[in-house]
Amino acid sequence: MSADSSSTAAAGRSNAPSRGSDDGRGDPPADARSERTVPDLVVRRVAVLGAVVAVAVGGGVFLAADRLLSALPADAVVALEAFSRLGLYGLLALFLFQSYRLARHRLAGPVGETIPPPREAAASVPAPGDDLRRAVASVRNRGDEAYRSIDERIERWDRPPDDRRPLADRLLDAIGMEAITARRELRRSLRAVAEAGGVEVDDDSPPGRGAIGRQEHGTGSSADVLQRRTGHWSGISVLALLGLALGVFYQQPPVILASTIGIGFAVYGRIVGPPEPDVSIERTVTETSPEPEAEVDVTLTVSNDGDRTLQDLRIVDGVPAELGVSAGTPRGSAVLEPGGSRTIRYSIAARRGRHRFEPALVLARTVTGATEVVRRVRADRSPTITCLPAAKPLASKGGQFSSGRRAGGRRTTAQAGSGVEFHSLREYHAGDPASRIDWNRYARSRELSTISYHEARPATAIVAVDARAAAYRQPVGSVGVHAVDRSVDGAATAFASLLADGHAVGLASIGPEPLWLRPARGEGHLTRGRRLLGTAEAVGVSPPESTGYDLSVLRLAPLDAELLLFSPLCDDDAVAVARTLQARGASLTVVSPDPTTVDGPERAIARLERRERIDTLRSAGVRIVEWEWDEPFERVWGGR
Amino acid sequence: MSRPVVEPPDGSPAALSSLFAVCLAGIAWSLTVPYSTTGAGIATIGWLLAALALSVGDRRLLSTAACGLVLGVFVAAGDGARSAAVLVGVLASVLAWDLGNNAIGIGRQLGRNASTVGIELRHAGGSLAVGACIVVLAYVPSVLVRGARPLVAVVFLLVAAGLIALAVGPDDSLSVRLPE
Repeated sequence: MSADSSSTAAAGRSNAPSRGSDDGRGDPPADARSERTVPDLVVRRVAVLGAVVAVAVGGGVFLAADRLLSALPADAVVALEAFSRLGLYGLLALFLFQSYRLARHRLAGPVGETIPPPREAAASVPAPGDDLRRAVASVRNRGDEAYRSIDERIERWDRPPDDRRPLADRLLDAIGMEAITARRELRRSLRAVAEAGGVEVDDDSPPGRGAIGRQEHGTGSSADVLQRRTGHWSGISVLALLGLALGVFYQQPPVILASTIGIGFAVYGRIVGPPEPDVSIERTVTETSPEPEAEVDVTLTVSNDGDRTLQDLRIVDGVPAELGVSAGTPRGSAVLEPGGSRTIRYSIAARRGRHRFEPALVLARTVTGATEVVRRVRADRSPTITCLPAAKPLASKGGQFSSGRRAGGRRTTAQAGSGVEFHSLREYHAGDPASRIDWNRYARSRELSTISYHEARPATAIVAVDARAAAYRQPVGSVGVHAVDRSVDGAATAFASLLADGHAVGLASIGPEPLWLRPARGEGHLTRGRRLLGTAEAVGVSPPESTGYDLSVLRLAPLDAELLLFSPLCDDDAVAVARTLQARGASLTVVSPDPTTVDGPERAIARLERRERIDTLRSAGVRIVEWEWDEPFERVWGGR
Repeated sequence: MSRPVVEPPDGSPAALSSLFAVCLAGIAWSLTVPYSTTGAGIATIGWLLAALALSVGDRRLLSTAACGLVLGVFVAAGDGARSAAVLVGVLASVLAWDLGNNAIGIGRQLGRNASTVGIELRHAGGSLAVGACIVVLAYVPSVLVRGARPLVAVVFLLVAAGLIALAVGPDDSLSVRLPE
């Protein structure tokens, strides 16, 4: 070993005199590293070689001790004893040093195991006010950008003077904890503004680090097969080395003996080869096109197609990212004989959209736990779950959705014709029905004239859904339902109800790549619309990547069409959208599901801001229908 | 608008292996009691730490606890514990550490809702069988070989054992960085 090390050291010196202190940092090229360090494998082989030699010599001495001792002169025996003692102590010191290194390695380095993503929870979107919460949490002092922008944001309202500056804050300020006091001050201001605006704040607990947003679905490693040593037994050789050293120093044979346990388990951790999980999975569901909120039972069967027993198999099913598990667990484990199989059952709550299962994560371990093989296994057969919004037509009472619509589902138009509402008077032409002759006028002037009425005919309506990224908001505590989900549910019901009333109804969305369905009538159109609302990317369950939006499809709408826009109005762009649509002359009604909550001043401010947007739009003449989060759409449609 | 939801694993260790681990730590502790007060004291701390580590699912704490248990047994050996007791005590400590780590790993990967008894028993059985073999293989020769032996032979065997222990250490633990 010494010859080896000195030669590499010499090479290192001659080749790289200028490479200074970057040793160990960054990523030096492989040859540079081999110049400076003796690789692990070389040291390991040298150690094994040394052990073999030591065993041979020791065994020889052990068996032939008497003969050897009598053959050697007495001085040589004494010298040999002395030197071997010295050598032994040196080696023991080395063992102690190495066991220190190993212990530090074990305590510092994490065990190399795959933590599967949290498949149970559906991916979620932020709550209104989360951005403000994050901004407040990022404030460092009163001079920084975040502080000033929040200050400007609440300047629009009359802020009550902040005269109650607690002693604790003054003390904290005195010792330089401005980051904390500035945040507390901001939250006090936000709270005061919200309450002055008539929004009661529920809970004033400061945001914890994990409280903002929720954990997103991670895909984990993208590799299909991954093999790794877990390091489960790493550190066990400390027991061996420490036992040897302590046992010799304190002359305790039982302790030396106990160190064999350390050696034994260290060997055990290394001798078992990696498992070769040759598994297949099959997945069945009880219902591939469930109603929204229905429970779907999933059965996952994992089979061992290989010819070796899998001693430790852990399985996590790839539940579709947008669906949550409602009962059971998508995780399981098994010891699988060749040909054996294992079944995992759980239920998921159906939700609008087309959902595909992802590959299941299969973790195979050796019985020792030292090696882990990770595989992502696609099912041989895996169903797709398609869930469309209910779209049940409601009785046509939706009076507040239309300016001119009459009971019976007709609206008067600007065109003259037959009807009930007076439009104009013209000269009588032969063939005009006698019922439309103005007989009063005839009595006065003896002139025949014909009355025209506003022609009543079925209207054209466009049901639009705000599906910009900023509309994807959900109240704190809502699981798997956000404002766009509610909007789409409402839009589907409105679409079906208006169709049932005989109107021509179209669909549109507002987002980066909006959907558009031409207004039409009929059963086939209802099916088309429902399918579109259920599965179109434009109004999908996951928010779009882009925050932009495109209103151009709404130019395709007929000029006289009524527009029914579903939007949570959670940002100022929503107001701009509504005003643009209104400026184009559309008769606009905004139905606004309310995802705001009042837990914490930041979220209360979001509610206050939404109220202001509603007021702004109302004063501009836009009809707004507010839709509380817990309220069924029937109540909103029926006009409360 | 909230549905019943199954929570992802919260990291609490698998129940059965945790129970085994705490029992094994108890065995290691009980073997120190007859021989040494100091050893028993150290082992008590180790046992308590092990229980704590398994209730919170902390690997570092568990390793510390195992060190405490082994140290307690070593001290007991210094105060006159017999080889068999020391071997069993150290084995129990190592198994407690092993099963505890397995319990923490299973808890993080699968959680308590999943059925994990099969793989837990398989792992525990494997470790126990290997541990029993090691103890027998170490104990029997030490009983059979009695009487004075030349120190040189013992030294060489110890050196061999230490070098093997080095060689079977974890990956990348042996590279030696050379001074400039």
